Amino acid sequence: MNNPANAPGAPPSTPPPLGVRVIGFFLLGGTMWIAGLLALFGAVMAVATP
Amino acid sequence: MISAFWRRWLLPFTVLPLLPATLFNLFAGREWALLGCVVGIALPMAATWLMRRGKAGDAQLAAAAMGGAAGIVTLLGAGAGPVAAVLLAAGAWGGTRLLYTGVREVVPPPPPPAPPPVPEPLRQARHRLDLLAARVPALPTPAMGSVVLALDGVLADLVLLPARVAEARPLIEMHLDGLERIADRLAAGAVPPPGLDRLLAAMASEAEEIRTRLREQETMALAVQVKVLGDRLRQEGYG
Repeated sequence: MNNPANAPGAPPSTPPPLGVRVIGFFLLGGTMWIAGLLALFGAVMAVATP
Repeated sequence: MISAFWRRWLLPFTVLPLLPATLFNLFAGREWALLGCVVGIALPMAATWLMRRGKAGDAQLAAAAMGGAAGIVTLLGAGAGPVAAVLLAAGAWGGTRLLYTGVREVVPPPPPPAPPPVPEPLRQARHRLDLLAARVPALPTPAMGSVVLALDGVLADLVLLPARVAEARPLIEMHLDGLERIADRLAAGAVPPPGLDRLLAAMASEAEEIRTRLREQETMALAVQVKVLGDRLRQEGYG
């Protein structure tokens, strides 16, 4: 039982704090939203202006 | 460990803001802007596929794909100029990198262990037997073929039972020596003597006997193991 081979394996890497992932989520989502809105407004303006 | 939602379903949702612009460009007939939007949808799908595949380095490729998608949409779809495109591309790339920080990428499984090396005496015997087998069709004694076949079976068995090689080796050496001498004489033009076929048949049956004996020894060893294990289980109170 005390054999070191029976010790539970350490996780391969420590998971990052949740904040990092949330920042990434909003950065990616916000960027894609801005890109989508830019594309939509650009298209609308291009069609609307004579 | 990152959940399946973050890993598999988040990236496809990032194309939702692009759908209105794509439809608008489609109906407005703006070809280049439409191409930018379509590429901006296709690249996140490729990034999703990469994240599902999950090989080493795929998270970085997925981040690059997301950055490329944002940049192309801004440049082609919105016509907002290269500065805005680079800014948004950097934002999408950095966002994806942060999102998948520390994601566990599937490591390819290690190659299967190589089979144990064949013992040297067996390899030599196999080589000699192969040479003999190549010569047999040209010789006037078809019975040699059966001896070669029987020896081939013995060698195949011994590859699986390397512990028995030493035991069977003298007989194999004797057979191979004898067969090589017979083959040399016959190749030199000797006429097969009357007793040759009988000798070859005896050699073949001896080789078969070795195989039988090896199999019997293994069976006996297994029977002993079964008995010992059964006794031990009964002693421990499990039987």
